[in-house]
Amino acid sequence: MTPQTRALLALRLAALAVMGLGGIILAQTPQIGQSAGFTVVGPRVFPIIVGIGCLGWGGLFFLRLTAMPDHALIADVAAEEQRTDWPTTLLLLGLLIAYAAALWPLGYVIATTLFFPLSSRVLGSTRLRRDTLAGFLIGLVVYLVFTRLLGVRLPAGMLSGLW
Amino acid sequence: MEVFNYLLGGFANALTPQYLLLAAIGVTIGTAVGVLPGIGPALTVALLLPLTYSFDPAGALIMFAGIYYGGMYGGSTTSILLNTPGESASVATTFEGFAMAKSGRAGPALATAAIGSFVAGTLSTMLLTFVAPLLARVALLFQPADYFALTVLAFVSVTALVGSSLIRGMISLFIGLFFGLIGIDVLSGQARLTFGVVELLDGIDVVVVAVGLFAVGEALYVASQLRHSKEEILDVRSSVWMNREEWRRSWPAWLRGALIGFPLGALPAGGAEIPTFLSYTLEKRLSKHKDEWGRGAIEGVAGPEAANNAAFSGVLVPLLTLGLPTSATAAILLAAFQIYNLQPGPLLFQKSPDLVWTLIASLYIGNVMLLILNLPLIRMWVKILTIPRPLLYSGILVFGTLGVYSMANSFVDVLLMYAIGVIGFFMRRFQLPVGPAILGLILLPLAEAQFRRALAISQGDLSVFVTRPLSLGLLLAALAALVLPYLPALAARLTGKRTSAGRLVFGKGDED
Amino acid sequence: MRRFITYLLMLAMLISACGNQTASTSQTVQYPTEPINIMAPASPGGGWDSTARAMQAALSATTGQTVQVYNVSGAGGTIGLAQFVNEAKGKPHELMVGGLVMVGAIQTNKAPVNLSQVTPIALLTAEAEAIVVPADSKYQTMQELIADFKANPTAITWGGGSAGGTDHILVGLIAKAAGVAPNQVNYIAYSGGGEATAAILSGAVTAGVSGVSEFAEQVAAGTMRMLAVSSEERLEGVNAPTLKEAGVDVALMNWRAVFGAPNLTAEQRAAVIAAIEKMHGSKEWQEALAKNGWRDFFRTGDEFNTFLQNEITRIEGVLRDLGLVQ
Repeated sequence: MTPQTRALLALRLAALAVMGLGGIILAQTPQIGQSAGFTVVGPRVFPIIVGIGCLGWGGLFFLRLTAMPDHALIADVAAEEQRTDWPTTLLLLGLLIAYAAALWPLGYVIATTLFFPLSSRVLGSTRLRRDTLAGFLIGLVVYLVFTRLLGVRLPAGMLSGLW
Repeated sequence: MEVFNYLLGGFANALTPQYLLLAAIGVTIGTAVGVLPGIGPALTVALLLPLTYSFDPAGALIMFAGIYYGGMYGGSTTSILLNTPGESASVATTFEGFAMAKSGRAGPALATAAIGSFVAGTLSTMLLTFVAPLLARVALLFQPADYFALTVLAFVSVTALVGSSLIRGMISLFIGLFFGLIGIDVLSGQARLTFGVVELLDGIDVVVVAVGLFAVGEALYVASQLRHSKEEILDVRSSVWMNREEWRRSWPAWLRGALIGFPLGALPAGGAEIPTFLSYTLEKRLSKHKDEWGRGAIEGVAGPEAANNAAFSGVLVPLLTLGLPTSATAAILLAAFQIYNLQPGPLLFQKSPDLVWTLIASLYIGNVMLLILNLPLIRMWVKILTIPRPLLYSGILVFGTLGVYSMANSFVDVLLMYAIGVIGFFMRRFQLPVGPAILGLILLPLAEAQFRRALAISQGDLSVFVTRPLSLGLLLAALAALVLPYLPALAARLTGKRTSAGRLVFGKGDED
Repeated sequence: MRRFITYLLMLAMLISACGNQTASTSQTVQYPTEPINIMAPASPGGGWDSTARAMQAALSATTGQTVQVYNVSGAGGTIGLAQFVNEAKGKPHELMVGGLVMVGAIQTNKAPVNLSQVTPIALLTAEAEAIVVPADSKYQTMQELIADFKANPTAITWGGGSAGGTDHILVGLIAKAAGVAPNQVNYIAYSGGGEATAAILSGAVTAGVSGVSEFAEQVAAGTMRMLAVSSEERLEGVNAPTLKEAGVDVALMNWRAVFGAPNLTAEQRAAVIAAIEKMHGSKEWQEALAKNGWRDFFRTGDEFNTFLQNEITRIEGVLRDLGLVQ
């Protein structure tokens, strides 16, 4: 597969995804309850409009890609496709999810102390120690300012007895 | 004129050293807390309200005005520097603001935001001083049909955000509309498209979507292009100050932004977002530098930033004259008044004129103090951009997560933001503009609710949209705004010439 | 450097382990022994938020402990309730404010959690609802409004707060008493008190429904006329008949209460109730009641439980009639 055909495939999949979204909206609409009060325009009308809109514009995009492809767009997407470093992207995404999952059990300070240097590493930093210290300081200062000074709750996690 | 006497009396009260100090403290704390992610103006005021308890009513309200303005202003800083808007009214600032920061012009962007906030704040306080009762009466003319027409006008903004391809722009808009549908329907109380997730019942906050699409999407994009782009350090141009050209382009935008923002902010159901988008659209249409849009046009920061500040002052009109809290921030201000046994409303100006005019005088003073405080700070803020890129983006992710989490103490919101970040990543790759999605998300709930209310009240009679003069006028304005800009292009196309429309791509990693 | 951080973390964990131990053994003897957290399951500025913040001031004065308020807004409080049920289990220092709206919202939203999962502590305040019309409306009395409502129901538009909330429930009760079919009730829901008041003043809706205090200033200024209040008896300082006096056999109070965490032991529950009773007697709380115009409705223990069960049954009936609960 040449980069161009791959790009075209990716774009078509995107168009199909938008149509799929429209399909999901339309499929969900009958499950929206109707109010028994006096109603002129009910709660299902706008979801139907938006669902049809997604199907329509997604479909048009698909047709456009097939009938008269936008070569500049395809070239751009193909070039980007070739430059893309998928492992790094997925690693960063995984780190983010791990960060969210770790916030409650580990607490804000520890989770941030771990996330910040690792994410910086993934994004190309090489100075792990400096980054760890920075992450620890950010986490600690934010935690103390938010919980102590402002009374905004952040998860204390493992350090909950400490303060 | 009697108003002048009252105002002078107010200034005489507010200009004592003790009150000036309170105003300075209020502005400083308000700015500091307002800059923190996830803490918008409403929460800032709610958190700091207890601080004011220990003072006499006038002193407390003066400190309060400082906190209010400081909190409002603080949001623009993170929009410009970190691509993470703290509240929905600063989303429009992010479009051009972060683009300016990336091209090394964070200083002028922050300066135009600060001075624009000052200009708009002062101008709108003047309007508040002189036309508040009149404006309040006009605002009460608005009924659901008119509000719907107003949202239609705001939807025209999509033409300024749509970019090079109508189809891709509309896809983005409909993705935003989809997000806007999620949650409990205001009119019927029925849950829609929540897929059984309790946290979705309240709908998706604009900040969650904006931080996801902008900040997380951008970070993932940077990661994906890492192997092939050199470590570029964002160059911070030696001058952090605005040059003559930037001044010349900013001031009309400030004035227009203020004039759009104030009256719309005064509408009981207007909100602060619509004026920012209208201002953005207007500035883009009027700009002589269309090629710069998407890469950092200063008018795109000056206008919306002035508009949101003016809209926040506009909120005080229904609050002080009618006792109507029309935003979360205003609701807390109302609570603050009540602590001192003051009931804002039609009788406030008669019952406690001294206090009201001291408050209004302190709004002027707070604005000046905010400017004095923030201009020197710009030099410091700009330094943030000299942080190495991996750390900067990690920091953006940490602060974005913090902001979204602390808004509702919700992990679901955080995960949702990451998921929306993935959508933003793909939108960027496929060159789908992000702006229309945000616009759709903000406008759909307003437009839908007012449309359905209008028809429920008219018992199904569609003519309500054209028989009310206000509604008809706004709809005609929307039509004109939609068609007029395309007439020259259409004419050109008919004669065979193609205009080179500037392509608008938001925050694309290495656009230039 | 790396070793230093590892050391720090280990030290931190050690200390935290000790801290937990001391906290868990001393709970039942005394209350409160650590900072109290109050959840306001609504956004800042609303009725639950101001109740929570008034409690914060009064409780920190009576207990000497730090008291924090946090907001989890949305869906009539059910989002906050769900979070509270999941995260506060067995923790006596976690409290949540709630009220009538939450009872309705749990049912309309088919929430996966309900109030039987938390520990009722005390009823705090109750507020009557008011029916108002703009000053230039042709309706001078509730009777006139009801007469037209019976004759041409859909032409009468009722503006008020969120669908399924207190205001909507009251309109549902009025319709039932007036013999108007639910599908003829033209209720226009607004998302906030300010927005609804503006809609009434602009003349967009025929009549408005909300808490008495919400309209007090407008009525005093002569921009609105109060036709009736929803309490059993006339309210002091309010010049309007009760609905019952006006011939509509309906009474409804919008009550607010405080709830404790799920799975509290009997001793813990008693300790929390004692602390709240002390708070209720404090000067700070009484001042807050006066300032906010809240009516004292203090009830604890079994009295509150019985009240709560009755309200749940009654509200479910109304919501079913309105079609909000299928």
